[in-house]
Amino acid sequence: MRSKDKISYFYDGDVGSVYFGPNHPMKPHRLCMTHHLILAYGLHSKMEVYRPHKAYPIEMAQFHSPDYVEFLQRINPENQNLFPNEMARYNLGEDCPVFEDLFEFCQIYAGGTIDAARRLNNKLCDIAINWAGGLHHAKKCDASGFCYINDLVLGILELLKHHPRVLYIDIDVHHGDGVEEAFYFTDRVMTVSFHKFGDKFFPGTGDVKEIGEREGKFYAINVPLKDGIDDSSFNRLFRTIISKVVEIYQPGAIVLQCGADSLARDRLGCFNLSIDGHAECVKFVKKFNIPLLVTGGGGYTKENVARCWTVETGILLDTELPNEIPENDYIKYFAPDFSLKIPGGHIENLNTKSYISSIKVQILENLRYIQHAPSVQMQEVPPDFYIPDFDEDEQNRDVRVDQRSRDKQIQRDDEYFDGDNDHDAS
Amino acid sequence: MAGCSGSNFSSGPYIDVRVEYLNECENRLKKLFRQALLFFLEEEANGKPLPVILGNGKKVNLFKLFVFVCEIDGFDSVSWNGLWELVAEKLGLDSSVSPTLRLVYSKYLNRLEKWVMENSRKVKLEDPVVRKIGSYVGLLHELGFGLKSFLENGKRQKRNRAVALGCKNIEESHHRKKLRHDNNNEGVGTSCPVVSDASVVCLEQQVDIPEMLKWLTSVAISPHDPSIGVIPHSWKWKKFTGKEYYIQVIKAKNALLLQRHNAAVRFTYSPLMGNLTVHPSMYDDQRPSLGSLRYSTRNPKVSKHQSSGREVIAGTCRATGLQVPKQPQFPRRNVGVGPRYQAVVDEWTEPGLESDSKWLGTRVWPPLENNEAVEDLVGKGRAKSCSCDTLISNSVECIRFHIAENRMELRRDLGDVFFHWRFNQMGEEVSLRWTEREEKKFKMMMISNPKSLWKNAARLFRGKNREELVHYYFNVFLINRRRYQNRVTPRHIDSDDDSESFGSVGPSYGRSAVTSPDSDIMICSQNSQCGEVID
Repeated sequence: MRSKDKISYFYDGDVGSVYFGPNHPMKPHRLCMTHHLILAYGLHSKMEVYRPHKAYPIEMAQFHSPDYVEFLQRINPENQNLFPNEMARYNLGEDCPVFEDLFEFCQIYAGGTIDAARRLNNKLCDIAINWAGGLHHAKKCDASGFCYINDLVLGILELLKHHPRVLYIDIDVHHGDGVEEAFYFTDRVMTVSFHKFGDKFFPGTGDVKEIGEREGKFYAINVPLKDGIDDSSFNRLFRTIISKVVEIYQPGAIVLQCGADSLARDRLGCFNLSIDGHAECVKFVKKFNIPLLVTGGGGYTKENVARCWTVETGILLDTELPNEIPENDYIKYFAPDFSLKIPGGHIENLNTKSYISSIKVQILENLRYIQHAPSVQMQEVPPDFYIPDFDEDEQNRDVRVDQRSRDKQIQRDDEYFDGDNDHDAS
Repeated sequence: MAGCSGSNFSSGPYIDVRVEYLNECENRLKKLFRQALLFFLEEEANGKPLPVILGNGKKVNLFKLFVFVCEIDGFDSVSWNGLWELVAEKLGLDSSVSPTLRLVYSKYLNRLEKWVMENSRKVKLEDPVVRKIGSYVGLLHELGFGLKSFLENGKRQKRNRAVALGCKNIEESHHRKKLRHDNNNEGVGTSCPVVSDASVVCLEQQVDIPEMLKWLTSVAISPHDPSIGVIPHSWKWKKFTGKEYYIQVIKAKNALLLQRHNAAVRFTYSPLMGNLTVHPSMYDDQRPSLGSLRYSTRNPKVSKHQSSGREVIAGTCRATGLQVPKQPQFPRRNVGVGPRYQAVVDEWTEPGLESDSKWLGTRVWPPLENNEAVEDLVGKGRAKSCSCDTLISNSVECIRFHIAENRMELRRDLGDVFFHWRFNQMGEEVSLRWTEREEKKFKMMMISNPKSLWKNAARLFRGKNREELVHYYFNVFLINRRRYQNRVTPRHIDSDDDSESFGSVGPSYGRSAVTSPDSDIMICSQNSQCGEVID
């Protein structure tokens, strides 16, 4: 275990005033609450806090199509009626409404992830945190699922400049389809997503059979789960799969999307995870000591989101936080018990043991195929010839030498007699 | 249409024919061009309106523009040599619109041109005599040839057939012209019969294939059956244009080869692949297959064993039965494929030494002068017992006091950063900037019509910008709602549900914050809005 990790935390005060609109589940105000809670616990003194630069359109165009980025810049609530075709084409309007300061919001969270990736590249920190990021549904040419710009893809592209392989882990309750699709055909990024699948749950993709194609075949892992999974099953599955993946793939950097909608009692989610269970994943990934980029993601019950990400910040800082929430401006949100940890949920767990083990078996089976065909050299090439030193004088002469050892025997250079005729005096 | 001679254009009677031929070619070319353009625009899906109208109201003939620019060797060469004014003049437009023309070209036609040039590199027209005609027909040929392979990709069957028809007619005339030159079947020549064969196959797809397959199967089963007749030797096959089954088989086989060749070409060109130039057959053998692969491993051998009926069956079946031989067996998800969906990931190279130090975020905390970490504040929770007077301990006032106390301490700790992080806009103190009337109005609007509140915020709340409204909403309004829910409906707490009706407990924040704790602590006000009380 190496000495204390250096943590960089990215936050911009302007996210608190972003409002998606009435009755919209995504509330960036939760970031404000998270930050507030982190400060209330005093965690800011153990890490470095940075304000990210606002991502430029050209940086976003590293992944997204320039027309889409340009449209996002131009559109606002007043003029959105003038572009019905474009709005439909880019999937804006309902799930992804156009609101005031939309583009600035995208710039902030995308800039955060890009800066975080750059700091990791330049080895200025070991772990970088951007709770505002993690919007994994955005596609190259359209918005989706409350996400407009896919900051994760941008961050990963940045990391790929310094690392041959990057691992992406997604524990949001929704499938990380945007990131998976962007890197579906390449083996330089391995995407692993744990999510609810079935019953027409958004976005509808993420079956275990989706494993990538062409060079990216076997480099996309999907763990489809059913309603109500609890801490122990989830953590066991997570540990098994991730440890195998890291062992085989040996990534240079890891990106972890910690969507908090996989917690119990989330407005849109349907799992039973407690905060401990969720944070256990973060703890596990941190143990690998690989440069780590942690982002937020989903999470639609504000107070649970704030609790979860505060606990996880504490874990990344190796600090155990007391359960009583200190007085702060938002304390009313944490009623009635005002405690940090929340218990697991109680909805029925539809994930039977056999189902989970069948998923696990399929995934481990798929993983075996990539042990032999990495596109980039993973281990050091061992020297070509290795002949162990064999000194026949040290052998026990009373024991008969078996054939194999005899085959290995090489006559010494200063041996005068051939074969067994070496009757020298010693 | 009248047969046209290849090289003798000097004599009189041929001139009319030539003009006629040119017109027809032009029409066909225009049709093809329009289809190709529509296809490209749809692919890009940018909603560029057609027809193109310039600022002064004049329409731009995209076809003519394309032809002119191609004759001057393409967009790049025109731009480099500043020839846009010339192009504008040729189109009969004012030379001042040349920058607009350039923009129009780059938006609509650039991609089409690039693609045509790519395909035309394989088909080089060398005959200098037919340069003028050649520029048309060559372009036609290129367009047709390229269109053919391109449209197959798009799985548009109807279009395919129309194009094939067009192709076929054009190629037949071209073919006849070339045969007169007695060219060998290399270069342009080879592509002609193959293309026309392919188009023939396309045309006759729905009609003759089943019979042909039946015939082929019977041949395979009993090759020595005398009823089959004599099939001439393979080196003679290409010259035949009859309707015999074996001719069709050969044509089908060639069509397959063409498709495979096109697929290979596509792979090396496709921007999806980035800079990789891996031949698709590389994918066949080395990966263990879970499902079936893209191309059956037997396919490359079709060209070698020309006399073997079985392989041809396999090839033909796949080509004709599936129309587009690209269906792998395992369930294919709807992943978008192509440059519109995937990120561009380059090959791994050692990183350069540039440092982007300015884009690493600006350090906000700890401030640059102070690098020592203050350890004692970290990780402290709420104290079990506070130092307040036992009378007001754990009451609303006590909590409020402690909140304010912590806030002060944070303010002291952070300094200016307190304002950067907008802590001054957090907490219930935000309501201090609101009058009671405004607060009431906000509440009424939220109950009745929240959407209109946010739409008309500027008008309804003069002097308050949107940011302030949002802050008020989250810091005061929702807190009040939570306060009510915590007390009155503890089992039904959901501050996020906007449709919930709610009441209020106690007066608004402003008044009680100002009064000192010695005076009336709690003022009971009748709760007229209370829905249900759950004990």
